[in-house]
Amino acid sequence: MEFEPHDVAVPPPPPRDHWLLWLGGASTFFVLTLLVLQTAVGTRTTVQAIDRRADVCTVEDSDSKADERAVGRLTALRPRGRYVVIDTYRNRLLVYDGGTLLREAVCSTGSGTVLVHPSGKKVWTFDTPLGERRVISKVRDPIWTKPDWAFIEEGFEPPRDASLRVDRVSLGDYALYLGDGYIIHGTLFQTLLGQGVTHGCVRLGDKDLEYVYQTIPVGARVYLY
Amino acid sequence: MCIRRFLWALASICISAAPVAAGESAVQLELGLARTPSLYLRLDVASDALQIMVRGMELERVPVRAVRLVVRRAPGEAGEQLSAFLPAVWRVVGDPAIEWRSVVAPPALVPYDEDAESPTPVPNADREKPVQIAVGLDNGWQLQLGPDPPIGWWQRVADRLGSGWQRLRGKSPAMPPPTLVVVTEPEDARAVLHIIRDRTPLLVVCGDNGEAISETSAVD
Repeated sequence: MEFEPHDVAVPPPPPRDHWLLWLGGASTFFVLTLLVLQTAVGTRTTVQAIDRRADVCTVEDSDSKADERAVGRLTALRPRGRYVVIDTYRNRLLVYDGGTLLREAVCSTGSGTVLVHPSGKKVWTFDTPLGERRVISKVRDPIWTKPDWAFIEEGFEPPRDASLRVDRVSLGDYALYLGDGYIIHGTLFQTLLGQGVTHGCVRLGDKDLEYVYQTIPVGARVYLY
Repeated sequence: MCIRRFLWALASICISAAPVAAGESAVQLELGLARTPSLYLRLDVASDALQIMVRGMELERVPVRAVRLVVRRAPGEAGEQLSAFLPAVWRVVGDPAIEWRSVVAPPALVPYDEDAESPTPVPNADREKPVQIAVGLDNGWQLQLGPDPPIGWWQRVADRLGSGWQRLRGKSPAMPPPTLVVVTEPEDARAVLHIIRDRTPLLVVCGDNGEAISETSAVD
């Protein structure tokens, strides 16, 4: 028997679940609508721009006599006579006398580097201190007794023999002591003046150091920022 | 002698531990800061300067282009005006300098060699200080310093969609703290950043003698 080809009816595609599509679409629309609504009424950023020209500031009720006294005390805190201002960001040292600038010098201040002892138990931060200090003492031909960090930084164990810590050249010709081991002194590395390379001390060039040494008395205030 | 010492110690404790009293005027708050030898920042929102101060003396005046208070609020939440908080002393929380300090850590130490040459110091290889900084303040706010933050339209839309999505999922969106934005030149921002340490005080005042300012609110 011979098989004869004949037209075979192609079965129709299964009916689509239209209701599922509709449900999916409606859900998506609902979620998106909710999202838009939430976004519209949601968290908002309020920017209060300060308008300096306007004239409605809240003025607190203040005791004018107490304020006058406070102003008097504030004025009294300001320096008289000669003082030093050190800008540790720009590495500049300024000498003032009663508010008049006498001299501006390039200096070097703290590097801000952190030194960690191999044991991890001790950490030094080489920052120049900020705020007000006073010149505690002045010394000609100063001698530096090197602290532990000066050896550790170079990978050496600090020596037990105290004589090995004595350094007669690094501080230059003069030193003005500010307390806690911080000193205004000279440097062997004059080309690095103007950069933050020190361990917290303030280094000056030879001529500027001599000027500061001769101009600034013991007890004078030093403002570091 | 002992009584004098006791009284002196008591007075010192009282001065150092005295909280900022409510209702103190700007000059009284400043006097409290100027009594210590530490630096403080003074922001007068009515003028165009952020000052680096010590002992009531201006050390540097940083030009300020604008001051803004940026607050994110949930719907229906009432907002306060900046002037309601002023004058005030807020302190920086944390040391922002930690981000860019270079660290030297020798792996081991060898016995000291007297003949070894000391190395020439080199300028610090610190990472570049950021142009724009944001530091936390102890009142829960943030202080943002630097050029105007470039917040574009798309960023705002994305923020809003994000917070809307969070709420849709039943979660309350994270609310960033109010931010006091002080717009300055990048170099000026770096100079101020250089002196900011943990607990650095920021005195925010509203004119030297109660000079007038106003605040205009704008909602994006």
